[in-house]
Amino acid sequence: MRRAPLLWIVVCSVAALLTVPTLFLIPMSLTGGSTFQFPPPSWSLRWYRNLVEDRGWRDAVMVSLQVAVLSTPMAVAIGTGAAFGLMRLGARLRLIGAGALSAPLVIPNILIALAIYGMFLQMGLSGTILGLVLGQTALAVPFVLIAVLARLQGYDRNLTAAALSLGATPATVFRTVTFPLVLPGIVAGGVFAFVASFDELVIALLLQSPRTVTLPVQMFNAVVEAADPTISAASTVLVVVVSAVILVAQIGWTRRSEKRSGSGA
Amino acid sequence: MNARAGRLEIRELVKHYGGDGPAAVAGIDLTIDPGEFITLLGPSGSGKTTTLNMIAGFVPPTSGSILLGGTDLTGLQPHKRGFGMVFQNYALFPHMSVFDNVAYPLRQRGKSKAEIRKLVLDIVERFGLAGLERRRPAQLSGGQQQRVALARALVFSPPVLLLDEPLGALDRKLRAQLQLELKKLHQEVGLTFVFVTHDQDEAMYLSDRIAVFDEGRIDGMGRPAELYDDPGTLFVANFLGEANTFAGRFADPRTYAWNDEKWRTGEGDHPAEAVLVVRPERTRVFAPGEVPPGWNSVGAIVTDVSRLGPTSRIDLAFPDGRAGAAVLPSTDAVQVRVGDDVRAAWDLPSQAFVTP
Amino acid sequence: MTTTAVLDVGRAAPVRAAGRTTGSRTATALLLAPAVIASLALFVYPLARIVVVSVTEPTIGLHNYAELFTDGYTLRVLTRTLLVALGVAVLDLLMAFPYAYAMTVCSPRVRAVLFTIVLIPFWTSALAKNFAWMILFQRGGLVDEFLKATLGIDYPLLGTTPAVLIAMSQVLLPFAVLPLYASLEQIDRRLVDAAQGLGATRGRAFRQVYLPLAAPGLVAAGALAFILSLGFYITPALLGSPQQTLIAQLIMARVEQVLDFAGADAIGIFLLIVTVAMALLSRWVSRRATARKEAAR
Repeated sequence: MRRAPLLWIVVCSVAALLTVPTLFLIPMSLTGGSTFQFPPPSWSLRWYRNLVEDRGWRDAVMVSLQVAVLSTPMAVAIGTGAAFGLMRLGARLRLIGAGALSAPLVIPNILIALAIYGMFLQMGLSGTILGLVLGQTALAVPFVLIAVLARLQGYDRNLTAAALSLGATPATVFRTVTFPLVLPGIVAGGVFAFVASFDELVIALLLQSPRTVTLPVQMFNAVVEAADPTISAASTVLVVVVSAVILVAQIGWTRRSEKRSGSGA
Repeated sequence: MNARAGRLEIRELVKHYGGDGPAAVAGIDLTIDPGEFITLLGPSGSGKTTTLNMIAGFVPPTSGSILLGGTDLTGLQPHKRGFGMVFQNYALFPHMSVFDNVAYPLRQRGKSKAEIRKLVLDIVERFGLAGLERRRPAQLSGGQQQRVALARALVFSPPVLLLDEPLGALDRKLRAQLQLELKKLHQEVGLTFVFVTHDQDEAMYLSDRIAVFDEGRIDGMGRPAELYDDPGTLFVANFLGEANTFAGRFADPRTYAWNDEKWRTGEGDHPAEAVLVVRPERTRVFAPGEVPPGWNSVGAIVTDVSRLGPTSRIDLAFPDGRAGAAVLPSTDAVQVRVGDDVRAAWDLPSQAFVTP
Repeated sequence: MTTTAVLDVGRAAPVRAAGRTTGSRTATALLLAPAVIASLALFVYPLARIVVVSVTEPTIGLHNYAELFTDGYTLRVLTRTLLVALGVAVLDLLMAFPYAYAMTVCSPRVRAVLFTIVLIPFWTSALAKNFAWMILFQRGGLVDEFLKATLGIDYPLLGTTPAVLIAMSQVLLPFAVLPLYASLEQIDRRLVDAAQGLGATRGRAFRQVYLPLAAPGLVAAGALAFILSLGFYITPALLGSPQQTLIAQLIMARVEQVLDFAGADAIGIFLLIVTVAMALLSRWVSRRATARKEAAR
């Protein structure tokens, strides 16, 4: 690799492209002006204050949280159950089932949004929190399903057999062996589902009503309609919060495995 | 570890997985005495693992029954059988420490904390694992993992220990060492061991008795040396070590004819349809005309001579074109050259007749 | 990443002693029921419904589809969408290939860093990423000023198709890098060394040995970027121009502004057909490449 400096120039450029543009959000959010002028003419925290104090932004955060908090557990329960169910089928049926249940991932979101919107309009669910929760759940289930299924496929069924041979009832085997070993997949799927739901725009855009404006919709409207720099503060908060969640999860995980591997050594 | 003595009986056990395929296990009868080390030996797909899984309760038999000390276990769920089991990859719980792995069966049995602690620490000590109690399986060597698996399967004093190719994944040296440990362990605890393997050397070394499996049936059964010397069937003869085989016919009850050769058959009964089998290490090589009187012999051409140290291996081609071998003390093999026209010979006690 | 994960699901190692599964069919059905119901109610039924709407409203027939190809405008939008998707796929492959390749040859520590760098935009809010590009591309923004100062080009990128192309490539890059890395990691690099040992130059060994082995992964990664670009809404809506819309914007505009559901549904179904066709095509190409790879061994 040291023999190919060109390769590493390219790699560093790509790495920069992946990370640097987003960083401009931070100075932008600290602007004292009321446009997206860059570099900012002066510095202030006014847009962060606005994010907290302005009714529209505050409500949007609450709606997004509400939707994500309701849809994530549903997606986790449905997706985890399905993954366990699929593992009990033969290899062929499992492949077909997993493909069918995770199809929403490959189908353009805009189409799913369009389809759900049309149906919800008819049922009177458009513009309701319930409608949003159902829509986000539908999109989030495949994330959970895939994460848990991946974990389950790495699960050695001999462990179940071993626990049974040692006298554990099937329920105990699940509680003490299978579930703890699959848990990382469930957590990963849940985090994924939460972030996906919190960041979802297209369905929320179509289903919006004055009472159900999610944060992404509020941000989108702020850019398109109002050119309101609060969006840069909101974006920064989103990036920081999501990165923090991921980082904490990752560090927590590493710590735990280090503690495991460190003990008794 | 006290063995609750009881004879393990397997009666007419059949497993059919459905479909048009042949039965995975096509009628097995086996009686295993308390304290016996029995090996189910066979190639993959011969039904040995399925049989073990039926004994453990993981696979319900299609028909037949399994009894321990006269009690029918056939319909009993695996966690109620109380057998110890060691798996090929050990199946240690990766998220638990060595202590928790070994304590697992005791916790299922509702033992008190103090009792669990005592039993676990005792057995951990006995298996040379003291000081490793808090490690995770991934931090142990292959040999240590095997010992944890054994400790976990024995800590609750099961009447029978089932072992599913527990040495299959190890390198040769570690394997030899663990075989020795396993043999010593069996002598110490005096439990019934039911051991599954496809390695005939391992089976010969460890077992009191071997059951050779082929296509869902037991093809041969006996003490290792008996089975080796008198394999009974051609399959067993070939599977347990190497054999020079001659498929001829009886010219009369005392004469066996193969190719142009006529051989004496010795005393005793033979099956009407039989193949003559001689082990390479009981085959000697002589120049034509020097065969000792009373020995049977066959013409052969030496195709290769390899010195393996104290013994040498002479590869032979018989008149029908088939290959064979003789394994001699190296001192007897010095004059043998590739291309030599020789007589491969054996005395009567060295030959056996088997069914094809 | 997600699609490759889906495709891998069937290749689980066969379980020893297949008969060891315990438990009943009822339990299996109960575990699967919620997902199946959710999928039917929130996915299958709504999709079927818009298929029906697209051919029954306002009158029964295929006129909504006929319109797609006759009004000229829709066809232009579709062509532009396909071209942008192709551009994104090519740009992403050009960036993802060296990046993923580097990940296979570097030390584990560097690999962890490169992994994290790919995953950062993966987790970052899509709106935030696009908004950041808006700030950079706007008139008087950093990119604009830079182009003016260095190349003398006065071309504010915001509101142009190149802006959409660049931003979309960045947003979708993780989806190209991750499956490509998974595929390149499987390649036995000793084959390249062997080719060099047999007298091929470095470049030749790479072209004749490594590239053919990497082909299935490249096809899969490119196809994924392409497919995901087709239905993209946020980027063209924020960075593109209303005069140069892409198909997702067209759908949204039909629904939100003209309330022409049947028309939007027809475009949506057409988009679905193109997506599925592309997915099948890429699978076929990738399989053929794999088959050739196997035959070459």
